[in-house]
Amino acid sequence: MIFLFTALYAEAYPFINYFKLKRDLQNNYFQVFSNDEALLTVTGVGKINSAIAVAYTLGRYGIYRDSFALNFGIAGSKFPQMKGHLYLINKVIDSETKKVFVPDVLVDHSFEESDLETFNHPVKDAYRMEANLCDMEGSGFYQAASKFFDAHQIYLLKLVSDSLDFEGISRDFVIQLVEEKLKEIDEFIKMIKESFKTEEVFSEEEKNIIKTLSDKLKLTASQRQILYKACLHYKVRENKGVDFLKGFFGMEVTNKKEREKAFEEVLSHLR
Amino acid sequence: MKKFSHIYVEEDVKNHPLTIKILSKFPKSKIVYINRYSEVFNRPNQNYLVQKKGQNLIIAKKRHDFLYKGSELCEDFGNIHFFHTSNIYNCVYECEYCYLQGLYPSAHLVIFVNMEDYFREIDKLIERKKIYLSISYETDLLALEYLTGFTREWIEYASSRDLLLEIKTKSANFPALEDLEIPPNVIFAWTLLPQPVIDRYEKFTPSLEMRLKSIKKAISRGLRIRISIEPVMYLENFEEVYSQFVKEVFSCIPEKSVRDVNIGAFRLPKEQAKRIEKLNEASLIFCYDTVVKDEVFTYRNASDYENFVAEEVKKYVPSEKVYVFNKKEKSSLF
Repeated sequence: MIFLFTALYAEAYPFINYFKLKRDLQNNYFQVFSNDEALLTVTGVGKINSAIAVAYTLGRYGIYRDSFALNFGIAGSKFPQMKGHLYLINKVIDSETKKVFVPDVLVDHSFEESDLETFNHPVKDAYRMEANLCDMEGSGFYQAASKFFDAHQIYLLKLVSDSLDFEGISRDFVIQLVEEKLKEIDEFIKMIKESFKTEEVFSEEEKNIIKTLSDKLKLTASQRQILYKACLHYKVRENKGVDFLKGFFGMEVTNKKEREKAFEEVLSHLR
Repeated sequence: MKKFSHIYVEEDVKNHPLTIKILSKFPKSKIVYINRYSEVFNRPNQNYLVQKKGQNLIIAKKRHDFLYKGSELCEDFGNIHFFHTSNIYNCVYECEYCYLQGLYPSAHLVIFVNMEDYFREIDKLIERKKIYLSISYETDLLALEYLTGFTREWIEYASSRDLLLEIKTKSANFPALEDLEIPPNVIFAWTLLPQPVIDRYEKFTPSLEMRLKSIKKAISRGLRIRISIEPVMYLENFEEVYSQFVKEVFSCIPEKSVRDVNIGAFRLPKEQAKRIEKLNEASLIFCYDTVVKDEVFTYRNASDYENFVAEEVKKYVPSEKVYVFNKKEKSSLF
């Protein structure tokens, strides 16, 4: 699952169409749109709004295995030549606190990279900027996301809309700008998903076998944990599945003594 | 994922000659300037295993804690003033049993370029006592010689100082120092394990054959080397594999060229083992019969494994040169 965060609806709109996201009408606090693979929250402008929206979204919808967070939005730049380009952010400076946040960029990607400075207000003077790009959400997003995600699961992509002059920035202009980059962003998202896929040791069937056996033997929480680890170690060490445990499903357990005996019997086959 | 796709450089050392030399070797890497290495290295929630696959580099200045007292879990060879130091945090090798996993919050490699400050600190210490200093515990320094030249600098430093310096390595990189005069107070220690153990546990390390070749080069220069057979890792056919391995090693290395041999079974501080298990519960290191004894996570039969290997080694090397790790005897020294 990818969690997308944009400050403005105009930044979100092209994603909603492209990924065919549906609005969550039950959510009264934020505009949230989702499908099976992506969930987008419109956070509102500013680092505090961004942090609140990240925390609320992840608290409400939960984090799935192998998911990651992406903050996308338009940004200003000191340099006119950066206008219209998309940048993956490799360093975020909070202009207020001067704290520095460094995303863990581990993937090979096709974007240019830049640093980013997050301000509490729109920036019109380049001399105020330490970084090449400026926005109003980055540091808030990063700090909130880093409470939930590993460092390599947090990304910021910034599309330069202006060189601090705000010239020609309208809702339609933003939508058009984003639409032009959607394919590249989609490729990036697919690449991230592939790069960090984790393999599970047990198949779904094996997980069910371990659970069923634990239920049948009425194992305590601690015994379940011991059985799980014994199965894991057996599978890794012997390079064999644990399907044979089905053979123990018929064991009758009516009291604690019988449970202990049955448990030891099962474990002896896993050592 | 590429290694060193990003190099993070502390502003304070961006003009240091070594920084410039290292950066020149990676013209395609993205350079990100930072204030302190901790901004990258100490970030919350870093994933060690993922970072290892795409390890990046941090170039920094060491500002304090240049030396550490030697760990109780490391062989001190009877030296009371045992210290270790490190110009580099983390390693390019990926040994599955390594205690560095979970020791630091990050798997990225940190190179502290201000060697001169390390030397200044050690000079102060050796005025008062003779120390035994191991310089390659938090990394394999010789493996990174092409990048840093640190091993050479340490040897040159030791040649005019009264201290005993140990350089531990798994690398086959001794030829990088071939032109250098190695003084008698510098000990090269090669970690050797059977090839099946290397295949299973020591990703990206040189083969046993390559290590032995490197050792032969060192011996041909008149060096008496240390052999570290640790961590002794259990595997099926243990006795056959280890006796064959010991035979292979000592058919290559004459006894007179061996300064000493140390043997120690796989062991980790209990808390460290927990952290590693959290990172990778499916690691093979947890899949054999292990136990926590005196706050140390090790094999239940660790002593048996050590003793077996020691007896095999003693067939080729006099017993007074063989050190078997024994925590209880050592604890009185600290």
